Amino acid sequence: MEAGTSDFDRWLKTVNTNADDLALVPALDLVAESVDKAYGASIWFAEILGRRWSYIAGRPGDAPFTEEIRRVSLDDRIGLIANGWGSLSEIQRGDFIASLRELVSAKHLP
Amino acid sequence: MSATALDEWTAGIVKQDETLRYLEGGEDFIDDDGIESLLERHRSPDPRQVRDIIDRSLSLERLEPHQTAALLNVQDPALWEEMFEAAREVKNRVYGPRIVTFAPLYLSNLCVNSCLYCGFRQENTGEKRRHLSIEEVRKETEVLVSLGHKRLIVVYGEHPISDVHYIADTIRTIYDTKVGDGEIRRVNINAAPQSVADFKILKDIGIGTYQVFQETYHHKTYQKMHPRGPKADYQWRLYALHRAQQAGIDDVAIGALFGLYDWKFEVMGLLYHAIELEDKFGGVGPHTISFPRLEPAANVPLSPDNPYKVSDRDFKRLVAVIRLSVPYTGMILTARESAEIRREVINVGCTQTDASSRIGIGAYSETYGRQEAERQQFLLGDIRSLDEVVLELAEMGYLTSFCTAGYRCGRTGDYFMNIAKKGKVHQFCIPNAILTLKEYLIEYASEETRNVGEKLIQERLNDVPEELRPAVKARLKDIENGSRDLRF
Repeated sequence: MEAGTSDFDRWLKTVNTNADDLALVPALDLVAESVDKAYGASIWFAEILGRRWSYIAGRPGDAPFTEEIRRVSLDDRIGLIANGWGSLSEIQRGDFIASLRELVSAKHLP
Repeated sequence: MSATALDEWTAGIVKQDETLRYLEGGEDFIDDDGIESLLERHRSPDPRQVRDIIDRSLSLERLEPHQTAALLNVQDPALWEEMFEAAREVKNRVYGPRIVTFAPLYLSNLCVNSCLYCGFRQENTGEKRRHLSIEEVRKETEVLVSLGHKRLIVVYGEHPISDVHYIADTIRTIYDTKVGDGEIRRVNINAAPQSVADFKILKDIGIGTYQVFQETYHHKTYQKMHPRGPKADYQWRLYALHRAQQAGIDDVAIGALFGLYDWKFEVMGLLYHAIELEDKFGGVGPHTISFPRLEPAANVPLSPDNPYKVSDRDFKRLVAVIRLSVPYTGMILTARESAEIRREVINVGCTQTDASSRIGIGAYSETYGRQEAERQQFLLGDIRSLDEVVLELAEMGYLTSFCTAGYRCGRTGDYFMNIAKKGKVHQFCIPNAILTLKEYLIEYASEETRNVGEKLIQERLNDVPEELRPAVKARLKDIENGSRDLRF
């Protein structure tokens, strides 16, 4: 364990390492499942096609939404949709999205 | 375009390799004899068996073909009443008391096909042929936006002038058109079957649902009804949605034109089509099923008064059986039907309907208020305004929904099908129906509709899960204060 490294940093590093060798869709599935388990954040991913955001990965669970759905473009092809960020702080959320941007930039859509 | 160039274009449409790859043992998935025999074997279903099948539907499980065949053959009127009630209940469990509303927009009536029942058929010299320019598309869209519409089904004839590039250009125009705060938020299309490459073009511009109807699933009848043109190829059309899915379009819609062949056979065909799509595409079946009835059209050889004409009684029955057979799929009832029939049939499981419909080319901006047979595909049975339809639905207890949230936040394809099959769609649909109806009532409704609609919204807030209700109420306030396009 590195000194000064938080649980969140360790979690993020592990997820990124595990997702590294996977193709885009399974990698995003893995990230969505992991962030849900670790922080209760409900997210999924879509291919951005103009106005249409077309589902590609992740699974948000069945609970009714109590917050407005948030959409975040990761690049011009892939978007993240969040139905609640669970216990992720705003800073952690920013780091998480930044790491996702790196992840999707390195992978191709099927 | 010269006749030779037109012939060459037409001859190049069907790409056999894009059909053959889906066949199994050289056969498609519609076995005419098998369907006829299944219907025969279940000609007199036991009422206990029928009630077991109804229970299966109520648990939101898709029926197997032999079960649907049994339902189609029920004779006892009392048992049919039980089925109507179950169909209504199934729809409410999955979608809640809301009806999604849209308008059709016909952009072109040029067509290379020769369908015996269609006013657009190539041989119909009485039809005024036309396709709308981009500027005319904008004008039509502005009228529809001004009425309050948020969702369209855009219809194109099959012709080089209205090819995939025209479709793409017109959809971009529709999406770009705004009138004040109003805009079309979801464009679905009904167009001829495309190649995989052309479907990719449609996918990339962000269409909502791609819809194509088989018209009739009965092979021999299909050949008789479609003697020439690309549409004469049964399998090219049957596998259009396979190609669309292969190209990445994950919301696809099926339908049959009732009145060309035996209605029971067509219901079975729709079910087999739904099963085939689910089997081949990871459980993602059709997003919606349509069941138009044949209507009169100008200068066509086939009259609706043929031996396969579907009576009003049988029409209601077939809609209920489709609902029970595929409990989680959207079902579209259109303005082909009269207002009276729509009132009756909407209660047995329909989820979507159109309003203020005009199907003449340019009819919204040029001749609003009447029908012209010589530039329509057929004649409509109900041309009431959107406001009248919203009012009537509200009086029946239905929220008119203008919601287009799902496809703008990734609730498409596999995701949508997953929540629909669990009966969870209403968790989004009811709050979003309430919010979009509120917006309509403020911006577009008559005073009478506004009063009835506001009362209904207050009642329907009770259907919203308790934990979500405060958030919905807060957004209703935001809409009253000027916010628009809020959604869950």
